Amino acid sequence: MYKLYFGKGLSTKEILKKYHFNDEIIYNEYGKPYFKNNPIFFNVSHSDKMTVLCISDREVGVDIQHLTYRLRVIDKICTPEEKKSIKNAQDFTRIWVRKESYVKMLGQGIGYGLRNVDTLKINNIKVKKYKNYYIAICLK
Amino acid sequence: MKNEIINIISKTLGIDKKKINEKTNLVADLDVESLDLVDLVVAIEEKYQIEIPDQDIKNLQTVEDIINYIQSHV
Repeated sequence: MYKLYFGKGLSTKEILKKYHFNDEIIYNEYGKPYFKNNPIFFNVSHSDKMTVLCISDREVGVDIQHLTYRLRVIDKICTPEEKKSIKNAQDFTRIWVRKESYVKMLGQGIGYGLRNVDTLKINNIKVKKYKNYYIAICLK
Repeated sequence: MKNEIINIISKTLGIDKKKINEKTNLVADLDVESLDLVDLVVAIEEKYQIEIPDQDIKNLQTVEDIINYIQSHV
C-alpha cells in the first residue's frame, strides 16, 4: 500500500513538512532517509522542479523523471536486453525510473550498480505517467 | 584540468560556468539530479578514457572531488 504526494521544487524536508510528516529523520549508511519514531516508510524524488513523495507501509523506492532520452548513458546503465528494448524517449525514461526506484527501494541508490538491475525481469515496480513525467514506485 | 572539468559540467548539464568553481557541490549547489550525474560521469569517462564504477559516483560530490578522482585514475 502506498500513497503519492506532489510538490513543486520542494526539498525532501519541505515536502514532508507540507504534508505534515514532522517526524525526526535518520539515514542509513547509503543516505536513505527513514522516520526515526514512525514505522511507515517514505521516499522522495525530484525532476525538473517536480517533487514526489511516496509514503508506504513497507520499504519503498520512488523515482520521477521528466521525459528524456540520453543516448550516451544507455551503455552505462542498461543490460543488453534493456538496450535492445529502448526505441524512444518513453522507453528510456520508463527504464530509468524503474531502475532508480529499485535501487532506492533497496536503500543503496546508484552505488548498487545500475547495470546489475534488469528491470525487464522485476515485477514489483509500478510506473505511472503524470503530464510529461514518468513515476516508478518499487515496493519490497 | 579544473577549467576542463568546469567546461564539461557546463556543457553536459547546461549550467553557466560562472556558477561553478572548485568547491561547488553538484547536488547541494547545482541541484544536479541522478540522471544528470550519470550523464556527467559518462562524459568524464569519455573525455579521460577511464571507467568510473557506479559505487564511486556517490564520492564525486564536488568539482574538487572529480579532479582528484581523475588525477588518481588516469
